[in-house]
Amino acid sequence: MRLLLTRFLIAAIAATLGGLVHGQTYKLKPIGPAEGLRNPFVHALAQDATGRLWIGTGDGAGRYDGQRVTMFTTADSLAENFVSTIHPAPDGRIWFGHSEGGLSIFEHGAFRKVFTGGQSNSSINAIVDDGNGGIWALAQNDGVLHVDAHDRCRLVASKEDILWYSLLVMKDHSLLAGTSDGFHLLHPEKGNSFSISPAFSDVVSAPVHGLVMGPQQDRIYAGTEGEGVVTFLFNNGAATEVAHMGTHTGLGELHIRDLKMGAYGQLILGTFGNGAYEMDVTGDSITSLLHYGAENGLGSDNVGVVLPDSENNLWFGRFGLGLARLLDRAVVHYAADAAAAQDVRAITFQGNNIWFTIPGGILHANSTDMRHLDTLGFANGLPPDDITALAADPQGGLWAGTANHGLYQQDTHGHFAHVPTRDDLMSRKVHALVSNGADVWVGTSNGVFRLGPAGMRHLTTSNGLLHNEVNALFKDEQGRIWVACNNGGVSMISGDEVKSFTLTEQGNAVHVTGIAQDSLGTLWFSTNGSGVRYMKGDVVMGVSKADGLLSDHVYSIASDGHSGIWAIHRGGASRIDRYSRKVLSFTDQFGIEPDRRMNTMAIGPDGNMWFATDKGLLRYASVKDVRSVRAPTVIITGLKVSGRDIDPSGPIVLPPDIYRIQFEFLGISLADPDGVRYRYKLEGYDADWTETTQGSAYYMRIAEGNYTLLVQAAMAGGDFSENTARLKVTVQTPIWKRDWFIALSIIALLMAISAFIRLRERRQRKNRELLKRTLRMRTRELQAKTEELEGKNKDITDSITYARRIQQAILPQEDLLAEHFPSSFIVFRPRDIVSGDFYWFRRFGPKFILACADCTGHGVPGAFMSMIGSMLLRELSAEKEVNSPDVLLTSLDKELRTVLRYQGGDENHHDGMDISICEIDMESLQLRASSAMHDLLIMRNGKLLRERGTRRSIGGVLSDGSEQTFDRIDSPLEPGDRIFLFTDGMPDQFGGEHGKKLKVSGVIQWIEETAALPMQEQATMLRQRFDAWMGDQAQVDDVLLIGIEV
Amino acid sequence: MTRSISLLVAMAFLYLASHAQPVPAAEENIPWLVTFGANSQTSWGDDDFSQTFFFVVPKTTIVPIYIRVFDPDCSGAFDEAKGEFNTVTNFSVYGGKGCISDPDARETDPTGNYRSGNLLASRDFGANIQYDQKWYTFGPFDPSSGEDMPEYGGRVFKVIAQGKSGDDGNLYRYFMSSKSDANEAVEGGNAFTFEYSFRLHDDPKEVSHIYPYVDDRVISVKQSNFDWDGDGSIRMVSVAKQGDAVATSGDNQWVSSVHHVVKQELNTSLDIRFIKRADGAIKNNNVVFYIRNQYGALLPFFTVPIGGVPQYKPTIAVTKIK
Repeated sequence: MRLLLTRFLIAAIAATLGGLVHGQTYKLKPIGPAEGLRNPFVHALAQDATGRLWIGTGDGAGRYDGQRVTMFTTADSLAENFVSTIHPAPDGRIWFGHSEGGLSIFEHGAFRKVFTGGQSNSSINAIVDDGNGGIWALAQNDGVLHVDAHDRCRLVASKEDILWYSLLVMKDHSLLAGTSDGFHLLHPEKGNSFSISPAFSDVVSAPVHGLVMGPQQDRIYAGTEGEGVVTFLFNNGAATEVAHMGTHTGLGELHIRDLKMGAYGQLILGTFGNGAYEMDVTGDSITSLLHYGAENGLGSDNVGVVLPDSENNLWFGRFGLGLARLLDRAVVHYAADAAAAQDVRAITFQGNNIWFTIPGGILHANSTDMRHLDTLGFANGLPPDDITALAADPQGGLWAGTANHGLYQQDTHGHFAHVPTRDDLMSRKVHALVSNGADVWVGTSNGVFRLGPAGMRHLTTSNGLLHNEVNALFKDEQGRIWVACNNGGVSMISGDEVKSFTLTEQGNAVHVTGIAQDSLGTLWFSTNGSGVRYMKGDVVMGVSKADGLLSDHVYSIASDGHSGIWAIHRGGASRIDRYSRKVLSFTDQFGIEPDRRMNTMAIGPDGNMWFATDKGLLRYASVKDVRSVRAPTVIITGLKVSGRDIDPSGPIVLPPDIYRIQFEFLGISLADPDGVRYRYKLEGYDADWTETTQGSAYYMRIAEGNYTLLVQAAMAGGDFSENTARLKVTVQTPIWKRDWFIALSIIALLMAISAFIRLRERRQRKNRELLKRTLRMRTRELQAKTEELEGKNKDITDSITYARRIQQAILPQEDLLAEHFPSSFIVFRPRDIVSGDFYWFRRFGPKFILACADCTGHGVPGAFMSMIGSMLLRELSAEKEVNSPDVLLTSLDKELRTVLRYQGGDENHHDGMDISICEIDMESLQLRASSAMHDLLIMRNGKLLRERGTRRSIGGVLSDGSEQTFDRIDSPLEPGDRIFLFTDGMPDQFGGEHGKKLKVSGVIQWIEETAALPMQEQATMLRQRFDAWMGDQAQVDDVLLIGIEV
Repeated sequence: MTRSISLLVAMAFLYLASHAQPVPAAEENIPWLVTFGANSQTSWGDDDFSQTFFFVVPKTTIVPIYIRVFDPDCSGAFDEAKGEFNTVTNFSVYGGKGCISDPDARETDPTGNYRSGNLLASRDFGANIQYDQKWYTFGPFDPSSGEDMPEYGGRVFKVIAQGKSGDDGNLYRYFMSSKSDANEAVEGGNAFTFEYSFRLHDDPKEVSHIYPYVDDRVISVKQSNFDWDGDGSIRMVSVAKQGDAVATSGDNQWVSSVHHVVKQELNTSLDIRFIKRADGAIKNNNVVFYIRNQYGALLPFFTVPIGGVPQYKPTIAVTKIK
């Protein structure tokens, strides 16, 4: 039975170990057709200044921004579709070398071909900067091409029978060229050419496909085709300290196709046939080696190109399988498939040697190359029990504590032997081991044992320990041993002295599970239920779940030697930054079960942290943790203005309008594109930043103005980048709103007004001139007319004047009246030269007939009418039938109408006269008078008698056409009676104080007031009064007033 | 010429789709390709110690391709030793511009720019028993790395085997594969050469064949063979030729003969048959063969005959008299 058990255990261990050897697995994210990469063969990789990845394939160049690949081909002005090498230059341009000797440049968002003049038609395998804005390009068959800053290309170095693969610029500006026969030194000569040294065949004779300079800028690493990595120092044209790296581990025959150096000095190798390698190197030594191959997740052993990017991602160009990025590259997981339960419970280091437990045994390996493992198990003397603790002493011995079988020590032959302590059950339960010089300290369920040259010492609560159940042991920088006790706190052992420190929480003792000391000497304690405690002076501080710990239940604690304190929980780990107290959590792959794992962490000699988990072994390299990288570069990728796509590469100027604008931007994170968050602000519109996880910003109404979109990016939990993407957008102001336009408008308006005024003035001047001319012309015409009129007027006036003489000749002489009536007067004032008023008197026997007439009109017509009237009176008065004034008037009326050919009913004529006729019998002093429209005044004894005449004019037409008759006044006269006859000229005259007519009443008043005066004086007075009455008023009518005193 | 080859290649692909790309092919019944060391004598049967083969990959191919060489070393079994093995043979694979379009690449002699194109892989093999009777794999190669030659049906790779030193005869075979560790034909692939240097069977009953393709511009062909050693006869069979005897060479000797081509033979392959002497007296006979048209242009020998192995079709029917 025992034999069977032994065989079973051996078989189990063998199976387990075998699984672990091949259990190093990696997760990769493939980049292929789904992302837009059309060709699965990747020949070149490079990262530009924005962080985007450029991919060279046989079907064009791809650009990967973390989300998708955009392909560019000859249709986009690439010189050729086959891109063999890519070189981002410091000036931002990106150079592309092609398989048939062509070169292309990507700048300002577009490709252009470089005219090489047919210098080569072979593959461009490498491009490096020349330091002057140009490049050195390596053409495989032809040698070194130089393209200067003006794109002038020429062949500057060539050599028969060798092929050129790789290029490295040396500090002295010489070039080291990897060739088909090793490498050559190209020393610059005059005339921009190079001297080519013989091949350094004593260093390497295989084709060299990659050359990189070490981080110290002294050691060169050459990736060869068949001789692995060869490193050497190169000074003064000579290679020294040559070493072929890893030949003893099978790396000496690698067919290396690409060699790159990572950010922290590690070498990345791509090979044909052996996948890829990542080597941490120190000088010519490999301190750590990781292999990525078809069997552990890479999917292919043919890796033509590799690239460590600025985010610490590792990219593989898998030949025929597209591109792939290593996920979570900080963590290396050594485990088999889930079927093999590889529960690792303890780890320990001695130098590069690592030992870790598995069920039923212990594995040993060189931590720099985990491909080869030694197995230690039952056959080596270990008991059939779980190994719970490991410790390697400085002498190379390994100590193993078991769950129930006590302590074992490995001898120089590799065989384990039981080390007796106390033979009780609790003492055989080993939980912790620590080596301290020649001593080994053993933590058990029965206190602590110290084993060493001085013998064994057993410490329990009776010696001062807080508790006999020991969870962990720790040796501090002073060599003191700290004991984490299960219930109550920690105990410190220094020499023979034991001191204990109780840790409590709210009065209850806490369970201390682990102890660590950081680089400043601060002690940290993990607790089960109370988080992490640490000493700050004499004060105990804590970090708990509230501070970001995954849990307050912490089962192990360790310092990474820098700023990190690691705490292990069920299902994950937390890393506390000692300075900032910020806590990062790790859950993926860090899950640990069951609870009590007190020895699950160790720090390797290279600073990497190692974790024992129930699913295998983890190695964590904090320098490779992408979470430590800077904020991503952000670029503005798209601009949509009112639904129209616009190239966002330059300042945008939009014509006046109101726009909907959508900006699209992208934070370049190749590692975690979904973890990028943004904040943006549109200067000129937004007052504050807006944060978003979406790569776009939308504005609904953008009117005229100057705007600048600012975009910053950050990774989740990180700070926003100081590098801000900017895009200026100008919406032009409408012309009518622009200052210059307003100014111009004002000027134009003023000018227009001025022009209008000038125009108007000019027009006015013209008008004035025209008027003047017209006036002059009219004046001349008028003058002519005037002269003509004056002539005519003179003639008329002369005629009228002459007519006046005739009229005056017709009128009886005034003194003739005085002969009959000595006291009489005639006031006769024609308005014009001739008068429409006239008087007539004649004595027929004793009868004296006096007529005072006012013909219609005045002036010449009136004169004519007066002459007619006068003639008719003369004629009619002589007729016998006309024997009284009234008959005279009737006859006069009849004759006048006859003379004037008036017809009955003719309403169109108004010619006629008003007249009063007095017949005075000079003997009997009998008065007979008759008048048409005139009044007759008789003044007797100071009293004035007014006799109204017939209210019809002579020449008037009755409606029935009958003959007119006039009333007659018969009145005896007395001597001294004064008779006044007058026309309407005096009563109708305007004047006086108010410019009113004088009226008949005024005439009567004047006559009455002057009645006492002798007739001549009365006449004079009446003339004066009339003149005074008229004043400046024009005479409106002919004036006739006749006064006689009987 | 170009148009004709394109046509024939297109026709051939249908036929080749189910065939592998072994060189020599089964139809040829040629046991080995042979290349002697540079210090050898031509009388051993290799006129220039170099042999160029071309492999064609359809442009649609997106899997890595490998060119495998069986028994690339010059030692151990099969290879022809002249004293102690001391021969180094270089195998180089070329692609890219000029790989075949360079006129020197299509000539019979390794002169001028015959190594035109981008060198994709190269390796020297000496007397290294590690590779004796084993396949060595060149690659992987990106199909895009070949020279894009639509007239040959896709992208062309060139393999040059050249004796760098020594005087032994390196006997080998090729296979264009889509796997690095097995011979799995590249779908639609083919192989051809313009000058064949090969080893004949020792068994006189074995007849080897090569199949030059006659395009529609050919009026006559001029065959040239080297170092036949008078080992029997060489006959030209076609759809119109029942077996015209061609001039044969003696030891270390080039001999040529001109043969008219009739209309029926246009756009078909000829079948050049190498018929050994019945007594089998000549062993390890190596021979070089090429054929040109009336313009002096070399005709390609596709390892798998275009249109199939030509069968003679008599123009006069002979009816058996009963």
